[in-house]
Amino acid sequence: MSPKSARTFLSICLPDGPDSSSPRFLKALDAISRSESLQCDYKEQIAADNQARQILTITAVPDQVLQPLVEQASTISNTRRFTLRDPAMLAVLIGFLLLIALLAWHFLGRAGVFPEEALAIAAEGAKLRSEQFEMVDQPAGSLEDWFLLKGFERFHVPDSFTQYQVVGARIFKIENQPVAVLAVPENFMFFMVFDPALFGISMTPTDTWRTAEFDYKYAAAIRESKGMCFMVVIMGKQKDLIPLLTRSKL
Amino acid sequence: MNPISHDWSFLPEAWKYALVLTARESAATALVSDSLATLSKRHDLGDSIRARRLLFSILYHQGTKIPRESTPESTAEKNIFPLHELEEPSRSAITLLYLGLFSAEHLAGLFGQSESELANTLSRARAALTTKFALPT
Repeated sequence: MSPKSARTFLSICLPDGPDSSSPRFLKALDAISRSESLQCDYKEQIAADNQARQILTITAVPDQVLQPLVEQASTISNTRRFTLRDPAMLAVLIGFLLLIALLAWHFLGRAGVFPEEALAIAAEGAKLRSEQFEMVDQPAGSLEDWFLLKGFERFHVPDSFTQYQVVGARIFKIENQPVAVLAVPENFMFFMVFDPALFGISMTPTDTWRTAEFDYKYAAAIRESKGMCFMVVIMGKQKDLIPLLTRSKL
Repeated sequence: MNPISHDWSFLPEAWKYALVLTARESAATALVSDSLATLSKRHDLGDSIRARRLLFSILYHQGTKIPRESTPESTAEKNIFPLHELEEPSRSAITLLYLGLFSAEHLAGLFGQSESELANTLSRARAALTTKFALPT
């Protein structure tokens, strides 16, 4: 500490004030001891301060004044009170609500976002060629037994898609998990049915359509119903799915 | 008379500061009372040190709005009148320094000043008081 900064500090505190026992105060005293003029200046300040402080020292507070103030002060609680109007409590409350909202948005279906895992399944399915399917000639809704015989359980097609004529069907595996795929000539569509739990897909709320585009030329719509996901893949844009889904609305 | 509880042992100093700000005993009492009422509405008083800082902060902000008196009446008012006449923030800074309740850091914080700025503020107050009392320089 330089003598000058020490002198500055000593001008803002008193030798018997709250700072007088601090190490900084003692260092400041030590620092100005090296300068006779600063020390003399400080002594003059102390003398002047002591004289001026007498103004406040000799001023007595009348009892009849102090008594009501003491009684008024004694009714004030020094402990922190938690009320909803407390800005700190409001901040905590708003933060808590935001956290709840964020968690709800994250876990409850990610606000209707098309699951990325399902998009990967759609992309794989769209690559299948016609010769990779087994020939069938039945409506989509009547293939439950066909898939059951192939070992695929809980095959389910929404009611409004049951009448589409299917020309090929197969089970293919993604990440070693089965996906039922149906080739539908109308609109050059693929229907895909799979268990979402096997792919870590969670779609909440269920029974609502979600659409997405992929690989620049395909569009897909997916919904979960009765514990299984049903996905429609077409060659086109998302807008091309709208009439299909509207017509197929359950 | 009720003894002053430890938490509010600074009330006499608060009244003296209010007297410096108002130069009227009745106005000083009213100012402290109003400031206590304002303080009682806060939800973040915490310990008595914080309550003391808040009270003096309220006194400063409310008291400096009160017009200055031109002539003292009672003995107490005459005593503190040289301080009452000082300009702000020198008046509050030197009064609070002399009351000995706040550290230099807290005093500077109360006026939103750095330590060197507070030193200049106090220097102006001391110079003005020296003139009034013909104190040795």
